[in-house]
Amino acid sequence: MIVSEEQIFLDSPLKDKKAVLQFISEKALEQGVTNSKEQVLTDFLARETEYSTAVQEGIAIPHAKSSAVKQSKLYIVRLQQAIDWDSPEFKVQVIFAILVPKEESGTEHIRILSNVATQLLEEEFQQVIFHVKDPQSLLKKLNIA
Amino acid sequence: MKIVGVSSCIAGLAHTPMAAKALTKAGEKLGHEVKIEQQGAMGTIDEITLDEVAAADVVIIAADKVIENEGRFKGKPIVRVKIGQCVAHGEEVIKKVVAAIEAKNKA
Repeated sequence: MIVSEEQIFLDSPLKDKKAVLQFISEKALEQGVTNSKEQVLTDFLARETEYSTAVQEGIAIPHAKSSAVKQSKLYIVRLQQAIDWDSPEFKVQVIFAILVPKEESGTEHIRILSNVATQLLEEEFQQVIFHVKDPQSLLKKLNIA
Repeated sequence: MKIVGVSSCIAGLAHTPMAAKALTKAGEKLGHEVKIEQQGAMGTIDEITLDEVAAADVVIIAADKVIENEGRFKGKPIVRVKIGQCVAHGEEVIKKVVAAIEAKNKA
C-alpha cells in the first residue's frame, strides 16, 4: 500500500516547514521506508529550493525522489494551523508528501501518485482534506485504486 | 480556440500531471479545446500529434526543464509559462494566452 492510516497525521501541532519535513523523514525511518532520515530530509529541502511546492491555497506537495527511499510512499499531514511554505501566495495547512525511489518511473506507484496529485485540484476533494475527521474516511476518498 | 501544450517538471511526479489537469479543466470551463502532453515520470502521456499541432492556434509550454521534441511546434506561436502558475492559476493562464493570441491575430 502506498498509503495507509499509519501515514496519515491529522491536526498536527507542528509550526514550520522544516519541522514538518523532519517529522515525515523520521516517520519514514521508523516505518522502514528509508534507512536515512537525514538523506530524505536533504532531498526534500533540495527540491524546495527549486521553487515552492505549495500548489494551491492551503496545500503543499513536497517530494523527494531519493536514492535513500526504498519504496514509494505518500504521507499526509494536516496541521492545526496554516504555516508559511516559502510561497509568495499560499499558506499551507495540508501536506501531501511524496517519497519515491530515485530510479523509479512508469510504475503503478507513480501512476497512483499522479492520480492523487491531480485529485488535489478538485474542489470537492479539497473540502474533504481540510475537514475530514479521521484517517479512515480520508483513505476512502483517496483515488488510490 | 484550439490549444495544445506540454507539461514537464523536474521530478515528473506531481506538477506535470497537475498542470495538465489544471489547464484542461480551465479550457473546458472557458470553452477552449485544450490538450496537454505530460512528459513526466510516467513517460509521455496524451502525446500531441503533428495533426494536432497543425490545427492548434497556440502552444503552451509549461516546463522547468528542456522538453522532448519541441521541434514539432516550429512555426506556431509558443507561450512559455511557469509550471507552478499553471497548477495554481490554470484559468488565468488560459485567459491570458487566449487574449494574447486574439490581439496578435487582429494586428
